[in-house]
Amino acid sequence: MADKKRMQEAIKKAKLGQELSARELFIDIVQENPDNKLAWLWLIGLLDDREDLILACEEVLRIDPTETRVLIRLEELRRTKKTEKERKENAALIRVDELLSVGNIELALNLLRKSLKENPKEEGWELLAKYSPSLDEQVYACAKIKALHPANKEKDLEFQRIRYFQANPFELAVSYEERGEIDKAIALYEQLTRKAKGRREWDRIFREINRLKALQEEEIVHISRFLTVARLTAGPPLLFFIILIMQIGYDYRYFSLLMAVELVLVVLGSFLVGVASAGAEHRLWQKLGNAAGRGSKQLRLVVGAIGTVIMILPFILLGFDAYARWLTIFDYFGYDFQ
Amino acid sequence: MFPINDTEPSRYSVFPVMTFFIILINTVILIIFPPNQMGVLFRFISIVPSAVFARVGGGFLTGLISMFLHGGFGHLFGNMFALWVFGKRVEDACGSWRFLLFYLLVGYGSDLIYTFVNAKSHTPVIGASGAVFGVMGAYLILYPRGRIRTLIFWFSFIPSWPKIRAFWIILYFLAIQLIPAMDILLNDSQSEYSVAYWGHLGGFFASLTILLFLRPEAFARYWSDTQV
Repeated sequence: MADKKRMQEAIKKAKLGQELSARELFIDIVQENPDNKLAWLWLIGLLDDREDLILACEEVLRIDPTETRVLIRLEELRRTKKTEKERKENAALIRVDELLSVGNIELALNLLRKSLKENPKEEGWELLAKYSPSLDEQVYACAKIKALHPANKEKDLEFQRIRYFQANPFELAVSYEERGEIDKAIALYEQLTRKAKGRREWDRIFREINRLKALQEEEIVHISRFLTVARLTAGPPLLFFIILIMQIGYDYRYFSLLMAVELVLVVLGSFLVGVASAGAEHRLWQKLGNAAGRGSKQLRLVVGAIGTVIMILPFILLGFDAYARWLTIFDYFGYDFQ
Repeated sequence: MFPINDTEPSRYSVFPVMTFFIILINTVILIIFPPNQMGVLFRFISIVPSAVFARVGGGFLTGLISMFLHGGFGHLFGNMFALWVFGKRVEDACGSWRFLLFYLLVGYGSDLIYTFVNAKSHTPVIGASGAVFGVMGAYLILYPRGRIRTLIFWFSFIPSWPKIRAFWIILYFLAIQLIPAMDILLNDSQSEYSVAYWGHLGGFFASLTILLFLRPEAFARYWSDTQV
C-alpha cells in the first residue's frame, strides 16, 4: 500500500516536472522492489546517464522480455555506446597520428600507451611497435599483434625479427644506419649506453654515436643497400674480364664457353662476398636462418668464405690455362734449350 | 718534384697493411731476382705485347709477374715511395682486400692499354708504375684537395718541401706522360722510350673504377661531396 502511494507521488512529481525528486523516489522504489516494472519504465524516461538507462532497460526486459519498445531502445543505446566508444578510440589514434606526423613522438607515444590501456586495438599496437624507442616495448607490442593473428606468418616473422634485435641490439642500430635512419640509430645507441657492459663497450658506443652525429652534421647521403651490393659485386668480374681479354689476345673468337662459365662464377662469388661485406639486410640471410634477415657475423663469414672460393676458382682455372701454355714463349722467341 | 708524404690522417684504419705488404713483396722479389743477373729471364716471364696478341707465353700470369718486377733499386724506390704516399689513404678508403683487388685491376688495366697501343712490340714491360699511376688517379678522385708534402729542387739544387694540393702533383705527373704518349701513338716510337707511358695512362684511366672498391661509408661520403 505504501509502495502504491509512493508510486503515485513519484508519478505526480514527474508530471509536474520535478524530475530530480521523482527520479530519487523511483530509485528508492526499485531498490526496495527490483521487480517493479512500472518504476523501471518511469526511470527510463527520467534518467540521463546512458549506463543507467541501459541498466533500467535491462531490468525491464528481465521482468518482461516481451517489452519490444524497451528492447528497441536498449539496442539503440548499446549501438550509440559502441559508436561513441569507437569514435573516442579512433579520435585517440588520429591524435596520435597527428602528433607523429609533426614529429612529437614522445607525446604521441604517451597518448598511445594510455589509449592502449583502455582500448587495446591492433592499429595502436602496430604504432607502438613501429615508433617505440624501447626494444622491450616493441617486443611486447609485436607479441600482442601476433596474439591477434596466431596463424599469420608475416606477423610471426616480424615478431621473431624484433626478438632477434632485442637479443642483438647493436645490429638493430647498424640496421637503422643502413636504412638511413640515423636519428633512430643514435637514440638506440644512447639507450645502450645505459646497459653497457664495461668501459670498452661504452667507448665503442660513444664512438659510434660520435661517428653518426658527424654523418648527420656533414649531411652524408644515404646509399641504398642494392647499390652498395651491386657496386661491391662489380669490381672482381671487371678484373676477370680484363684478364680474359689479355688471355685471349684481344680476339673474341678465342672466348670459350668455359670462360663464360668462369665469368659467371666470378660474378656469383663476388655477389656473395659483396652481400657478406655489406652486412645489410637481405633475403639470403633469412633463407639461411637468421630471423631478422640480417647477416650475423658467423653467417657473413661463412658466406664470404664460400663467395671467395667461388670467385677465386675461375682465376685459378685460368691460371692453369696460362701456365700450360707458358713454354710456348720459348718457341716464339726462338730460344733453344740445347 | 717528388712527393714525400701525405700530411693528412687516415679516417678508418690505423695502418695500411696491404700497401706495406705490396711494397714488401716488390722489394723481396727485387732481392731474389736481381735484374742484373736474372734480367735475361724477364722477356719469358713478364708481359710482352706481341706475345699477348699471339696468345703465347704465360698470358695473364705474365701481367701479374710484370707488376712485381723492377729494373733496379731506383725503379723500385720511385714506384714504392709513390705507392706509400698515395696508397695509404686510398687503402684506408677501400679496406685492405678491396685495395688489393683495385691495385691488381689498375695494374692489369695499365697492361691492357699498353699492350693494345704497342701490339707489335717484342720488349717486355716490367714495373708497378701502371698500378701506382692507378693509385694516384684514385687519390685524385677521392682526395683532390689533399695536401702532399713534396720535395722540390728549385733550379735543380735548392731544395724545399712545401705542402701542395694533390691535384697539382698528380696533374703534373699526368701531363708529363702526355707528350711522349702522343708521340708513341702517332709515330709508333715506343722503341725510343724506356718508359711505358701508355701503361701509366692506362693505369690512370683504370683508376676510375675506384668507386667500385670503396667502403660503404667512404662511398656515401664521396657521393655527398664531402671529405672521403
